[in-house]
Amino acid sequence: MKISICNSNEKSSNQPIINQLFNNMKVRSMKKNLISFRILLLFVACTFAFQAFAQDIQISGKVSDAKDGLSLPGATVQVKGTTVGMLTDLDGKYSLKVKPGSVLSFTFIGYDPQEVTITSQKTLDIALQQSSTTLEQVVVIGYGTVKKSDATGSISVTSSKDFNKGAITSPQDLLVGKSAGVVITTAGGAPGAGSTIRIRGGSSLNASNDPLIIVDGVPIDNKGLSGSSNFLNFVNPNDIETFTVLKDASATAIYGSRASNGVILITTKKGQLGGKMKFAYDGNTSIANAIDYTDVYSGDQIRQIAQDLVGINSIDSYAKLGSENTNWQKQIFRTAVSQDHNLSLSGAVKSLPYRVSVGYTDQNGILKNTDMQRTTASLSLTPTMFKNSLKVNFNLKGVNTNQNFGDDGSIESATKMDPSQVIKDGNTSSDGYFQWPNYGANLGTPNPVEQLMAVDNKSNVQRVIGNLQLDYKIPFLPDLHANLNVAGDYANSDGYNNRPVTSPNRLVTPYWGKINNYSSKNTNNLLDFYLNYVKEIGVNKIDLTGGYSWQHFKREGDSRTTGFNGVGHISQVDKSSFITENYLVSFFGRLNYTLLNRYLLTVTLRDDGSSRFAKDNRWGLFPSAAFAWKIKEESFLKNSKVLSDLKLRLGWGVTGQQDITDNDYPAQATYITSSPGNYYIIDGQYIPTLRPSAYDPNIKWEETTTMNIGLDFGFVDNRISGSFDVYKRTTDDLLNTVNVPSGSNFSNTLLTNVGSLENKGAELTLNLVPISKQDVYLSLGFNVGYNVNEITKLNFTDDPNYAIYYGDAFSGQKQITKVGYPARSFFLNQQIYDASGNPIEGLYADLSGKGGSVNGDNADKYIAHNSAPDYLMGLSLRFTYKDFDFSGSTRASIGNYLYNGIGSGASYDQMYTNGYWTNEPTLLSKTNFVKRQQTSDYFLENASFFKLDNLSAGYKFDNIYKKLNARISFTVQNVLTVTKYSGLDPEVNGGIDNSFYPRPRTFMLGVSLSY
Amino acid sequence: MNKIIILGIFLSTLMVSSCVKDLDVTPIDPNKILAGNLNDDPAYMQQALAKVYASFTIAGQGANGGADIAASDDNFFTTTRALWNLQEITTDEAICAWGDVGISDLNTQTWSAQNPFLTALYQRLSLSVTYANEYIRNSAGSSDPKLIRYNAEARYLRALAYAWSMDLFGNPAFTTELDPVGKVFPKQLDPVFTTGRKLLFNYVVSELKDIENKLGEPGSSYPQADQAACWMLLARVYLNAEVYTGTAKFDSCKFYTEKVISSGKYSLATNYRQNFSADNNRPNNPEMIFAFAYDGVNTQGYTGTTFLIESSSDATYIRAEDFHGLTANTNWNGNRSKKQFMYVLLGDTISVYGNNPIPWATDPMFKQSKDTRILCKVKKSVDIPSPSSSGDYGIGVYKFTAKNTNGSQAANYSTAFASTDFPVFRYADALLMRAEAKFRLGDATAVNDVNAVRARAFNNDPAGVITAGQLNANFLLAERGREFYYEAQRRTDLVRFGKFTDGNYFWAWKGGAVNGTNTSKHLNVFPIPSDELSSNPNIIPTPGY
Repeated sequence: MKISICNSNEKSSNQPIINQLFNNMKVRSMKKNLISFRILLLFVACTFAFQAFAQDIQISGKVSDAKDGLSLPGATVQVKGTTVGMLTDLDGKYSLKVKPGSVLSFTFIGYDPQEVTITSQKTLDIALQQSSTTLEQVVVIGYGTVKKSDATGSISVTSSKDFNKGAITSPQDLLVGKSAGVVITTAGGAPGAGSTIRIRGGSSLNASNDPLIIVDGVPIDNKGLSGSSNFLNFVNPNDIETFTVLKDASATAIYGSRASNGVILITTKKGQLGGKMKFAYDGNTSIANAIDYTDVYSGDQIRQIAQDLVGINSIDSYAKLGSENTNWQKQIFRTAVSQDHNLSLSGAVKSLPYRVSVGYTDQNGILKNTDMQRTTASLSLTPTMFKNSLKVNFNLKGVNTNQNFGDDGSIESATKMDPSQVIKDGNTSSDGYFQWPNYGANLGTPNPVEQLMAVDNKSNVQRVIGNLQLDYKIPFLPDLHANLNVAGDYANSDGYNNRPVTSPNRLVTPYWGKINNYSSKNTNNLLDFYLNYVKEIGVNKIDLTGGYSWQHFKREGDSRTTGFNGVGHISQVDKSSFITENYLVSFFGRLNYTLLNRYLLTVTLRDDGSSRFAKDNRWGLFPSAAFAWKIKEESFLKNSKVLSDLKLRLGWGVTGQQDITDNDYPAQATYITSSPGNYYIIDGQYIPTLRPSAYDPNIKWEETTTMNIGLDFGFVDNRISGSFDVYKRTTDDLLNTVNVPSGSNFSNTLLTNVGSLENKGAELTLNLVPISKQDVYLSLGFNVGYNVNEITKLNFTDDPNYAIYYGDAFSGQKQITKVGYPARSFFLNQQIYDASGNPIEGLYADLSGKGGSVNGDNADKYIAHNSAPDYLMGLSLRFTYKDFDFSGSTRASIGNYLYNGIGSGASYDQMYTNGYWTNEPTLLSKTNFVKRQQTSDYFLENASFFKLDNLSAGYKFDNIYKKLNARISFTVQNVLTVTKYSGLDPEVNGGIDNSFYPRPRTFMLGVSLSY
Repeated sequence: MNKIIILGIFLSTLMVSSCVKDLDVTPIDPNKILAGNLNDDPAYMQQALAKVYASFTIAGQGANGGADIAASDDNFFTTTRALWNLQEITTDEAICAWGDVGISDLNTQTWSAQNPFLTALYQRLSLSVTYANEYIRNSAGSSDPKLIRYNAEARYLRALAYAWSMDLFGNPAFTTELDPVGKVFPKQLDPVFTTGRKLLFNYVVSELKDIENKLGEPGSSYPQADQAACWMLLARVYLNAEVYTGTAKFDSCKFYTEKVISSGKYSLATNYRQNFSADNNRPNNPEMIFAFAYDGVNTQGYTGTTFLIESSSDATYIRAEDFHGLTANTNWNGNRSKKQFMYVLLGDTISVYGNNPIPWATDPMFKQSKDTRILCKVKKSVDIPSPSSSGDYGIGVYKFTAKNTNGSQAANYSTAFASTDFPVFRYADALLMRAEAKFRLGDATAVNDVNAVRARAFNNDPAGVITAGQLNANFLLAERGREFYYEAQRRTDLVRFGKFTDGNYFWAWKGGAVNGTNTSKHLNVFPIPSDELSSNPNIIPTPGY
């Protein structure tokens, strides 16, 4: 810490000599940076001793930034231990009357505080040092905060300056590629689409693998809401200040039963105490385009194939072809123009800091007839009351989303639809569209244009989340804080999905046209209360937290479909509804013990109760312990100039999982009524049936034990900093859906605690600042995560052949979960090739040695690869030169495999079936398969990729009008993908590439104004 | 203010105790009923019985609760569909064109214990047993006459599931209402296959005899099981007793068929096709004894008769829109029959077509044949080029229809789902079972029952009448084929006559050879699926697999 004190040359003669002596001594010792603890104590004691004799002096000065010398308006200047103080004015100046010997503290957000003892000086200018970024950062952890340097767990913080740039409407997208070990896969390019987030691989098989997401202290229910495509959609990305990812158990265990898959804490922007009113506008317009289309045959090509294939298809099939060359994919996509506007106002009214923001997004999808309009509003009030004893944190967020989903099934139809046909043939029964049923083929591909444009598939979602957090310093015990957090989360959706009677029946089976209405409602209430006690005794520091948490989730919904049942026949109504709830009650405690500011110990314990389990299994105890050693603080390193930070972290902890995705009552014997259409006739009446549900009265928590070793380091004044972690996570008593013995329960499978799995990995994060000068600044962020997953036990019996297969009977089982392999590994037949390297149709290695046909038999398949990457890397760059700034983010995923489902379904014999023609990808001309080869490893491809996610350039104009600053920026998203994968996009969740809403390339022009 | 905050903290601390009680939840959904509340409402017991029936016919509960069986395709895993597949496409009667994993192995008799269609039926039948066990437990000891009858019906359905399981799998896992539900590991009746199968035979017979008088009078409770359904099932298992136990029981078979016949409640429908039309139910159809009910509006699914109609239809040769009145999601083009079975259908081809090859190009619908049961059409060719070649090859079958017998639209018509019931026991079966029993017992009057069935089939044309001298074992087997083709009986009949796996009878693609080949005798029963073996260490695998 560097302090510069400008003493007045004038020395007051009436000042006691001893005071001067000590003052000089202090100045000298500060200069030498060698002050001893004892002398300081003596000094302080003497200062106090002479205080009585001192008279008030008027002291004034200026607070400025140590780096650039610019004044700091709104900095707090306070006489320590009193309520006397003020804020610096617009020029950073202050003036106070103080008693000599009192201590003045200077604080400003983002800067290291300074304290100066006043002797006789009249002028005291202070240059505050900016907090050395990440190291002195205060990070949010569960139920509290901790200085980043004191953190004992594996925590990664991504703040707004590092977020991905571009037309981003989903909060998750800000974080893509920014945090080691965090894999975020967007569902596709649909407006407002959600994402799958995986931290350090999945720890569960059948329970949820989603991390717990906490927004401003409120754990969010990640259960979907019908009509909503993204459960995080209620947070406007522009309102987010930081993402804090808690990765290892010592960090997450305070969230006990919900923390097995990591925790992401989202903090939104707040008003600053003493900050002047700030107005900001951020707006952008973007243009998005499809990057590429699936390569399928043209009309001319399919007519040629029809002639060549007379042997395979009947001669009459040729007559079914039309004479067009319709590019169906081009017909359903468009150039989409979107816009986004955000307005925020923040500041403080006296001691009431506030921030208000509104946002409006109008996003159009590149698929026609898909769009989203979203309005968000947020309010945050963070006043401090009663002489700083009560800190209030009030947040209210609201969102109203109108979404038009269109029909993304038209994407597959567009690749399958016969390109030789016209879009419209004028047939009135199908509203003028060409439809196969008019030509005798009932199962024919629906006309993609009609499928997309005639559907009326919209929803309206509203969600309000509010929480009030009170942190109260107990008056008679100032080391003790009581913290109460009350939150409510209410979401409501209404939607419909209608089709006209002119739509082909295949889209509305069994109706002729349909009117579908649905609605759902999720309510989530939270009450957290904890006490926090912090005490420093000599070289010991104790930070003790204990509390409890209560959370209630309620979800309900209904759906009703009315369809016309053929001309002249009754209309049919299908309806269903559900309502379900669950509670979580927890007690938790944490001890942070710090010795000599070098040795840090964290112990946490959480006792969680879940209403999902029966009384005897309801409670789970989740402990954790972590130790950190700030090696840099040791005497032998303390003076090292090269090494600026070194900390070793060791952590161990147990977390749980009870987030069973679709059943809140898995331990109870219940019956469920069937919905209409599933009745049976008893005594002459059609009545609903009542089915006993499969249940496990002994079902209990899944438990994940995590061990983590981490090293935080920094070199050359932290111009190079980073951390390295290795971990091992073992999940036992997996909540796993397994086959049960026939006759033992009310289904063929049961969700129960069986099996174990393991994730092992390492993560490296590096932050580099190669250039940091007045006008030029360059920083690079790099992270890499490595993870391997292995199943170690799977079923009741130790049958080594037991496996869980994925895939339907029609297209073959292509994925497997089996002991000794990663979950959902690929499970395929080994293709045999001819001399020129072409796959021989239907010829596979006879791996079982049984001979005969090996087509599709599981015994002849082998296990290889899976869709999770071995390595995932993120590299981002920020560069500023004077008023110009530039940033970019790239990502690389290595070792992730994909099964090309679009290619594997392609065969000549499928091109004409059931009276209609189907298009196929041109890949078919390479394989020349006459029959579909659904389980050939020919279609398993290495889908490793490098993606240039975004590039952004901006220019800042200061004071364009009075104090109005402006910045314009230009951003390109989804710039470049480098991959060997033959399909459209190598980034596919789940491992099987079928048609999905393609991610567009977006060009965005943004304007920011601030005042 | 400080006091208020302290009070607030105090109050919230008090809440802790009540919060812990919040964990005691019970379902709040009115569609969910706690097992303990089942007796609260008499309607519940009716609905629970409906489930035992529905577990044979449809996939599950629909949008509320989904399918009963977790599977890649809910509809594959229904009894009527899986049973049909195992009983038909493994024989001369049918072959399926689809590429689903396991289908080709059924077509060619090369299945293994992993075959998903075997798993489907094994698990389905076991699940029906488990649902029935639960119902029998809950309704036991009631003095309500209705519940006594319902209880007997549940026991009937359990016996039916076991009878099929005994026929197809031989020695399945065995549970009754006395066994617990949970993480338990049931056993077979005996680890030795033949002993277990024999014990299961004895169990089925004793159960049926015990409930005989508790069921409704014949014809009184259609489509719920009644006494005649009970007698028919007894007759069926006695007919096949030698396969199951090694000891023939044709006298008992004869005894129970005669109880059905002498009840006087049943007669042959005038028109053979009525049995496979939307109005095939009692009281419209005097021939139907027991069937699984389907309804276009109330009991829907791509299973049962809808599956039979759609899988047998194609866009080119037999359009479901034209022949069956279904217009939505039609013409799946999968199942059709083979050349060898066409000869069975036509009986003595010489009497029909003279000494000439069948002129299928000019008579694709076999109009020259006087047998009205031949509801078939030759497609692109009579020969099927490969076990999985397109459904456009072979002999199309359009025996089942979604229309009424007279061609009119069904009541509760749906564009996608047939209202046609899936026949389990028809009166014609009572006649042909008695004929076979009599024949085996050396009773020359057997021919009268055969002629009764044939008279209806030939519209009383003398061409249908046969003499006692013409009646032999082969004729009986063929006659059952002609009468019951596509009714999920063929495999059982072929096994009983020793023609399913041995070298006496070949059909296209049997054993994977174009003209058929000898297959191993162990294939006469299907193996216990590997899913069951790996989840239950108590289960002994089927010999030969």
